Amino acid sequence: MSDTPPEGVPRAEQPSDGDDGHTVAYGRGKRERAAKGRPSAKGAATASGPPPRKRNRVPRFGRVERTVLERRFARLGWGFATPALFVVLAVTLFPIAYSVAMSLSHVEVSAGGFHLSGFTGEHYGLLLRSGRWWHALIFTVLYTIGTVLAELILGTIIALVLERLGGPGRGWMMALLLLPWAMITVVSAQLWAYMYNGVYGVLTSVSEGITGHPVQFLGTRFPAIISMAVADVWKTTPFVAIIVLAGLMMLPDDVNEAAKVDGAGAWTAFWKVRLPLLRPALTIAVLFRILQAFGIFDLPFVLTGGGPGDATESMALLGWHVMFTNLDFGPGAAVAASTALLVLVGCLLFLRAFRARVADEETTA
Amino acid sequence: MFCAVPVLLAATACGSGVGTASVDPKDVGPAKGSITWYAINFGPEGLPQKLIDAFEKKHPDISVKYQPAPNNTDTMRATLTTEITGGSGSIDVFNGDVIWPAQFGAAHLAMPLDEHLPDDFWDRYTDQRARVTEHEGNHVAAPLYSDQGFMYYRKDLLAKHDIDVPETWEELRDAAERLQDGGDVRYGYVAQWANYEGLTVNFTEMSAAAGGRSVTKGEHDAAIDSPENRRVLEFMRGMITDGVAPSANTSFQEPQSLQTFVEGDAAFHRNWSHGLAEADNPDTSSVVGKVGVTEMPTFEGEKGPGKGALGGWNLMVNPHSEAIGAVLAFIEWMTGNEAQRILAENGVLPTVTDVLDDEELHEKNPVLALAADSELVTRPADTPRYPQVSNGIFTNVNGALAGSTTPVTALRSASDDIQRALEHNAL
Repeated sequence: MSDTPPEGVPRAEQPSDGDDGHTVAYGRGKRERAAKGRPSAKGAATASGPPPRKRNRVPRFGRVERTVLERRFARLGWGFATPALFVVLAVTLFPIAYSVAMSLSHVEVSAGGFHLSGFTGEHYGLLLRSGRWWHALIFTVLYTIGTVLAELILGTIIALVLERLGGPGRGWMMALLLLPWAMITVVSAQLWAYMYNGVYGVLTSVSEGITGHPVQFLGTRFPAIISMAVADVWKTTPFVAIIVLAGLMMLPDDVNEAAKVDGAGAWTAFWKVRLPLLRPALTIAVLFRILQAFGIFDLPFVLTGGGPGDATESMALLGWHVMFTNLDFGPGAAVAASTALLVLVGCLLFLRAFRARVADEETTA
Repeated sequence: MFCAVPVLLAATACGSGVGTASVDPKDVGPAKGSITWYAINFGPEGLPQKLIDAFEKKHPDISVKYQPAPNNTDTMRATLTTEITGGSGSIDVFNGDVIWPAQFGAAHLAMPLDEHLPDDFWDRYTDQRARVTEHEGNHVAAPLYSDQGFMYYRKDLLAKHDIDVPETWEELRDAAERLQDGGDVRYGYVAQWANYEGLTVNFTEMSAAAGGRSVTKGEHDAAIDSPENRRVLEFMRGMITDGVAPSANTSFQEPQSLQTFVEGDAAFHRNWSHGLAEADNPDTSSVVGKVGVTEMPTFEGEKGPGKGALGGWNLMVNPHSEAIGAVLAFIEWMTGNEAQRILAENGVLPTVTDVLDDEELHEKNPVLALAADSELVTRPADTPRYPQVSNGIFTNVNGALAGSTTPVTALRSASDDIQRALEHNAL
């Protein structure tokens, strides 16, 4: 930016050098929004220094009263962000848009690559008619709800224990707890597969010792689902615990003390005071976990292969099978797109419900 | 999002892929240069490189680089699909599973070979072996090495109880029960009954033994819901409920069943041709010298012996390869007698009949002798829909074996799934 003016010298709007088509588009949108929020933009632009009087500022992104200088800096910011935005566009938005396009058109695989032609809803029709897709959907949703709930409860309990622990003991315990989380899923899934092995598995012989006959963990439907969920909870509970612990550490001590002074027992103090304050941390943990659990692939891929029957076939595993085993790219892309859409909707609903509750509390408080 | 679609369509239509669909004979190019061969490691350690060394000695103008593939057929297929549909020519020739030709041919992932290879090329194979490499009348793969199902048994235990080697499944079950009752062995029979392609293989073998099949000849209709298959599935489930086969059998793939057998915990074991060498490997096996091998059993009242399933791997050519001339020379040599003898001497079953029938080799390798005069049954893989057909077979059969459904329901549901798959109406 060679034409950057000396600091404090406001100048009229002009496109900056670094702008190309995309940033112009971004910048323009910004400007229009900024202008909408403030009808007297022209007058303010010619005034030097800060605006003469402070009005009630609405602290929301894009609606803030800004000086020309601030606007220039914002534009400059967009200019600097452009390369990164391109990367984001190329590595996230393009593949997503491409797979959506693929799921909505006839896909011809030839030696020359993919050819998409025409528009069709046929792939989605195939999904909706397919018992396999419905089964994968129901399994994935229930599995997500079940494991995330279990991880949330266990993770919170662990975090509370760790908080109470304090000192060097906490550091050691955290390191120990993080081991499962640090382990690559493919490796941990293989370890669980050894333990669940129907003949030589440790857990199989333990179950034989207790009940008298060996339990087949992966051989039948419900035990297989539970076994897979256990392996998942074992691995990801530490993640939830760490995030909740971070949330707990941020809580001011005085609220807790105040609650105790007011005569609240430990349980009430936790339930009524600390848990509501923990909600932001819990939301983050749950969101991350929903995103991961809904897209689970590696664990069933290694542990059960989706079996027995199609009992543990998740959406992601189904998508992989359709795409890379059956080489049906259109329907495979439809499975992937439907998964992404569902998880997006799920997360938005969750966030909305959460926000509504926070807002409720703020207004009633 | 919708307005973005046409733009993307236009971009992909002109942007994806390079090269042409197939190569005319005259564009094949000279038989020299360097090529890359992508394959899952097979045979004893270093066998692919040994073959390459011998090939390069005969063809000094060609250098071959062996690139090992992930040791999982589905993962390898996924890798090949992304490479080849993306227009990459970095792999010139690759090993492909015997069940791939129709699917790869339909998706243009393998180059049709008939315009490049002389008609008499295929005389080196049995008709059956050559036929399974066809897609729509054109060969898209050249058989490299063979494999098939065999029945392995504990000859020491059979001798101890003075039991003959069983020729039918019923005899096998009874023999297994006697050995279990005698306390010699924990389980009677182990095989690959998990929820995957291997179960389709196992079921196809047993179904053929009972005179059944899964898809009608010509591959247009499901035929799995038949009295023959009901007999087979009820027999299989019976083996589990009677305790002849462990209930863990429904989660066994090749490594698990093999482990159970070489630990000395099972009397009978169905596996591919490497089963004997594995059982006689003192490093990992506790039943060295105690294992015999025979053909798959038949069912009582049916003509014997049973048929093993046809397995093994073919050579396939990447349509984007820029060294087709060198690749064709490589295929010609790898399917010639010299390379096929190297395979046979290293315990891998050759596909070429001359080598397969070589009596000299039979003396050293009993499995080869057995393979030479056994008949094989093929999976219904001559349709690009085969993966879904197979999925319809193994998920339903696995469900019945695990006891989630009855054999009758499972076969009816398998029949529906297969029919839908063949009508292009299944995921």
